[in-house]
Amino acid sequence: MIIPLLKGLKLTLKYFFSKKITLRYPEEKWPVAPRWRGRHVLTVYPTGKIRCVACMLCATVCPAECIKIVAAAEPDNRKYPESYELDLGRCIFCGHCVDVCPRQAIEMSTVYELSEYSRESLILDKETLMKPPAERYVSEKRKAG
Amino acid sequence: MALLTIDDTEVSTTEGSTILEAATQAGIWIPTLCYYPKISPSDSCRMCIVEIDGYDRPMTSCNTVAVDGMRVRTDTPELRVMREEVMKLILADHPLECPTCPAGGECDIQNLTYRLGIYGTDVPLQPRASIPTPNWSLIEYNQSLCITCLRCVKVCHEVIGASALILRGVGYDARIDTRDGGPLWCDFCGECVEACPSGAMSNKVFRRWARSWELRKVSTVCPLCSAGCRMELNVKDGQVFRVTTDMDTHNKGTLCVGGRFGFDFIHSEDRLLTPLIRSNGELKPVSWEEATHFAADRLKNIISKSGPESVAGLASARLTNEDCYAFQKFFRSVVGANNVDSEARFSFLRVQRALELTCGIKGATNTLGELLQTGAILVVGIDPLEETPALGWKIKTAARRYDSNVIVANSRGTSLDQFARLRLRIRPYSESELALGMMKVILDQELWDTKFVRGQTTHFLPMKGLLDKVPMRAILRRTGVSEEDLVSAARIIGEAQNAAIIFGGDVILQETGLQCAMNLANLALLTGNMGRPNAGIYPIFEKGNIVGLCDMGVMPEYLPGYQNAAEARNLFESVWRTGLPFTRGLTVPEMVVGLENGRVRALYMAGADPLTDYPNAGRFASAIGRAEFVIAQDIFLSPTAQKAHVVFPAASFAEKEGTLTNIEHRIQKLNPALQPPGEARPDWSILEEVARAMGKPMGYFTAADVFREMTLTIPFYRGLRRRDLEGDGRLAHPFTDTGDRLRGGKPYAFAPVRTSESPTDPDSTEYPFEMIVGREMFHFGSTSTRSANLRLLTPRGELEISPEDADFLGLADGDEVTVSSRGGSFSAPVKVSATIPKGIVFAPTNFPDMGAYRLLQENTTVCNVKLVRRT
Ligand code: SF4
Ligand code: SF4
Ligand code: SF4
Ligand code: SF4
Ligand code: SF4
Ligand code: FES
Repeated sequence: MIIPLLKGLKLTLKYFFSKKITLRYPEEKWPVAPRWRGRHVLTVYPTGKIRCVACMLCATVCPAECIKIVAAAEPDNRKYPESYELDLGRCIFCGHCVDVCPRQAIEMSTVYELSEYSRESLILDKETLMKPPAERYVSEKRKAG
Repeated sequence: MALLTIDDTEVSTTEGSTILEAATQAGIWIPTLCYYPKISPSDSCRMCIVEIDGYDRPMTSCNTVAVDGMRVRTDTPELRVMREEVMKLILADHPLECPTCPAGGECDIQNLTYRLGIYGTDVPLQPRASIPTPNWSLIEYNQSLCITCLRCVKVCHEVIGASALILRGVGYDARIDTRDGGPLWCDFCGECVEACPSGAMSNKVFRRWARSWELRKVSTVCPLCSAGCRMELNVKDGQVFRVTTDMDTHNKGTLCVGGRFGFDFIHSEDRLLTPLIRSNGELKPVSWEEATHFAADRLKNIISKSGPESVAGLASARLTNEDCYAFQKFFRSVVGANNVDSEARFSFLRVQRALELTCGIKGATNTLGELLQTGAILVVGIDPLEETPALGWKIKTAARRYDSNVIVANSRGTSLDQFARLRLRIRPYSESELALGMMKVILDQELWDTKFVRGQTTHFLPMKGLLDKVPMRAILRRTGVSEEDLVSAARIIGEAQNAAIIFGGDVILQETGLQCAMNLANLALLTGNMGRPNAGIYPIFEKGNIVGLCDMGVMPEYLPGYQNAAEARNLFESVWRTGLPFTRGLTVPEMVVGLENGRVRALYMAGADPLTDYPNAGRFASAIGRAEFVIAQDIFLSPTAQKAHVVFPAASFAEKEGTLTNIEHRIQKLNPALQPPGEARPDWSILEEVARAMGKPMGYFTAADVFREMTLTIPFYRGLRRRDLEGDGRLAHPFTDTGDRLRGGKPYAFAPVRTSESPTDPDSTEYPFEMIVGREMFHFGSTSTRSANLRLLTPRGELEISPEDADFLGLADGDEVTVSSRGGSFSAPVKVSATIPKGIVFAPTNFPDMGAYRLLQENTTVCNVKLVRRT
């Protein structure tokens, strides 16, 4: 009768004195793998110019059809996205857009905190996507190669 | 017939076709790069090589004629290696900029490398560093993407006849260039872009660019001129990005600058978006509800006070057949008057009358395609480049490829001059005398078709009697043509197996257009070129749906389908379930008089812009000021709509359903590609809305309802279904049976000939120049002046003047002058042009802000003006 009780207590005590695995989220955050597929980033050249050339391949390949680009061309015929919208509410984080991009213009950061109070604010525009996320979330991919 | 074996398949093909064509017929694919069906083979890429038994080397299939008993293999390991070599050489210096290349997704290089499984090249890459031509309009050429296949050069030369492009340099330096190496200045048809297999020739106004696979292609009809070319609107996100074509159409996938680049007026910022009502002298936006009720109440009020005859209506060739039909029904059944008319009063109706009297037809006798097989073509008073470019290409091809003898008679130089066997620079408005002169020569030299004239025509002898009285000397003096030229022109037409006569705006718009058209018809009858294939007479008028407008009975004299009220009253009354008015109705000049004397109190205009388009614009402008109530429905706030009390926003051709009828009486279907902007609506539905507000609905809910009713009431529409009109549409000719009575029981009748005095103006000392008005080359009607693309080419209307006169007045290109006549004045920049004879100036009528028509007196296309330089 008492034996099973002690067995249970033993287990409790074992965990009581072992290293804690619970993270005090959100103060503490879980480190994610460098290849984590989080919120997208539109990368820029060192000059600050957007790398994307509005080739529409990402929008075409996206299975969730969540990328919407309005393309434009500069007077010298260089193409750029006039607007670039990505609906995180529909995105399935498959990463196809990153794979297909011929200019490494879109990458996925490790940002996973994406909740918002409305569906509309899940639609990210070009400016938001171009803003680099906080340092700790920057993808390790480029370093990893 | 040739029977050959291609890859173990027996293929039979017509004599003279190439191996490539035979293989394509049999569904066997042979890779090609420089082959383009519209042009002769250039034989430059070597991609299409095949092995033929008995030949010791591979042959290019695109230019090797298939011979009976040939054994052809299209896919052997040796051929594959050779093709791979070809492709690798192309890729060696090709930049592969596919992600940003305008051709990406529809590029022959992409497709071929993919299909042939070539994933790179071992020849070291040396892409040519070259920037796209910066200073061409609408079109851009990028040497680094060019494979010098010459499709662009040949299509420009062989199909369009502009010959603007050449190949310059050899080897790595080979590139396409303009003839003089300067910026491109050509017809801007965009055919070179359509023909280019790569992204080297590209559409420069495809700025807000999209990739080819994102664009939805909506097949529709170009509404800008009366050729009615089929085209595809490429749509994405509610916007038309560009226009492409399908080669399998009656226009063989060829478009002019209007169709290719002029579409963007539909996205103009000037589009009307909401109904407007005038209050305190200004047009203010209101709701549909308010606008329709305001319009209906005022109309009802005026009708109840002064009767339906006090309301008049003007429609336009911008409308679809459905819109036109609804318009005249609105007047005949809701208002209760026959007062409907249009700009056709000053143009196409004259011709129709002339042709009805002589031939019993209502437009062109034959199709445009038949021109290719015609032995001789007389082109009178028209420059097809300005009016219906599609016709021009047919004539050019006929002249060049089929050795047709083309005679061009015009008072100005035309784009056809270099293709003509004979050019007659006649004096303005002497086309009629030219026809008479040719008839005299044909009779003198016994070149007339006696059998045809005896068997199928009447009134020959009275006509001949009158003709004999006209002295040849007078004709030569009036036309300014030498006797020698006149005789050779007459001989060419008289001796040809088949001859066609084409006449256009310069004939149709003149005051004596009726007589002139009859004289030309007489000439066609005399030479027996009537009622036969590959011959006939073609009246050409620029405005889009002018033929449909007349077919739909937007004129006081006829009900839809050219039916007389006396005969068709019962039919219409039973279908419309209303009575028809018994009054005669007013024509445009009578409406103007009515407005002036107060008998016409209200004016309803659908798409019509009399202040820009009518030759009595000056008088109209003051008359419309007296109207108590003016309603306008249009896509833009035209100068006339600015004077209206109620303005309804209408949908453009890209936003509505409906049918259009082209110059050969081909009824074609428009397919909507977009939603109308703002609150705009199709014209027929605006009319229905007003009719409902007046308490007499017409019973239309869709454009299909209107069409169904047309098939019930119009004889030559009977039994047509809308789905029959998919693709190239249907040819439906109205033949009037009353004609036989007019023509004494024979199918054709000669009309009496008369000569006319040249229109002279008494104040020729004060106003030394004769101004002729006409159409601008890159614009079609006034709608296209709202197209930003076309405005790039011609931003403003220019006054063309001969070099001698320009010298005398000390004027140079671009100098501003004020042009004034007794009727009014406008100012415009000058353009010195060698095609204009001395003493004459030419003003285009397309530009609403210029308003050349406002200088004219009634019904003419000529007036005397003076020029004063503006400082
Ligand atoms: S694939 Fe890359 S370059 Fe192309 S549109 Fe997307 S982000 Fe831009
Ligand atoms: S022409 Fe074709 S192959 Fe060349 S860059 Fe353009 S799309 Fe790519
Ligand atoms: S646009 Fe037409 S006319 Fe001009 S170069 Fe191209 S094919 Fe020739
Ligand atoms: S521009 Fe295009 S069509 Fe012309 S030669 Fe070059 S690749 Fe051929
Ligand atoms: S304007 Fe006339 S010729 Fe030009 S594309 Fe349109 S219908 Fe054809
Ligand atoms: S397609 Fe025959 S040589 Fe180019």
